[in-house]
Amino acid sequence: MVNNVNTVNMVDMVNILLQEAPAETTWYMVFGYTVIFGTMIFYLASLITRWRNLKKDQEVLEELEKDQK
Amino acid sequence: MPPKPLPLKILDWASLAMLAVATYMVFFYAPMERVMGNVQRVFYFHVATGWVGFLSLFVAVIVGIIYLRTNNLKWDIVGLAAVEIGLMFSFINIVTGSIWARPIWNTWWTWDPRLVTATIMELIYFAYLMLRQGIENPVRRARFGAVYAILGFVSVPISFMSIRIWRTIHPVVIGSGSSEAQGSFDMTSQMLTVFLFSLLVFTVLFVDLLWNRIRLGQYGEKIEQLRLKLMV
Repeated sequence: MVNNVNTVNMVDMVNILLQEAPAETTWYMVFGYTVIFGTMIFYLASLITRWRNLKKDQEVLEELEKDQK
Repeated sequence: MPPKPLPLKILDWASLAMLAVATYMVFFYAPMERVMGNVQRVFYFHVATGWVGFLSLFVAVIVGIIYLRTNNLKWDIVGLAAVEIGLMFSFINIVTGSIWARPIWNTWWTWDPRLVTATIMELIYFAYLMLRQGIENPVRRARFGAVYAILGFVSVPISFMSIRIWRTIHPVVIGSGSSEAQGSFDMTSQMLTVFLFSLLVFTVLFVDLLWNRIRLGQYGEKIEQLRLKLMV
């Protein structure tokens, strides 16, 4: 019985050692998706900022237009 | 500026929802690639951003040709929007490619034809943005932009075809891959589904961003007109 258990454990261990396990590359995946979403969020933020700046410019210019009249 | 039209609002939310679904599918539906491991999941958005980068620059060429035929400045706004978005997506494509290469090719960068031509393409269009800023006359700027976008587009098919023309370690995803390609892999049906869905999602996202960026350009044009009116 003890011999059987030991044999099974040995087979399992050999299988694990010979197994073609995927490479551990999770960190690179996380890095990649951080870049993807980070860049897209940065671009969206730049669009929103530019829109707000234009809105401010419009308000100032409309004030000036009123003053000129 | 008129409020955002309803179709654009719907497109905003639809592209956001589709992006969320695609992200879910990348992480929970697509199986892990058995050799490369989790980094292969970068592939779905890496290729999709590359595709949209090419598409954006193609739109800039079409719009450039239309501008040269019509001399209507509204096409210049569209062209600038397309180049800007194309640059953003191409940047993501290049950087994610580098991140994927690190564990698979054991280097962040190699002087491979695909990597070099993609970077040259990025730099050509980055120069487009820089050079535009140096031209004050809007008509000259628009004409320059149109001609530059058309000429610069030569770099796009060269980059696309580079992995088919020259000896390269970059895998060919669409069409048959070279047996020498390092990092190439066969896709399961689930992987293919996620890949095709990602291409669709980024195409929708491109249309949405383009529309929003065009509106921003039109708004800027309106402010510029107001400023000129006050100066007279």
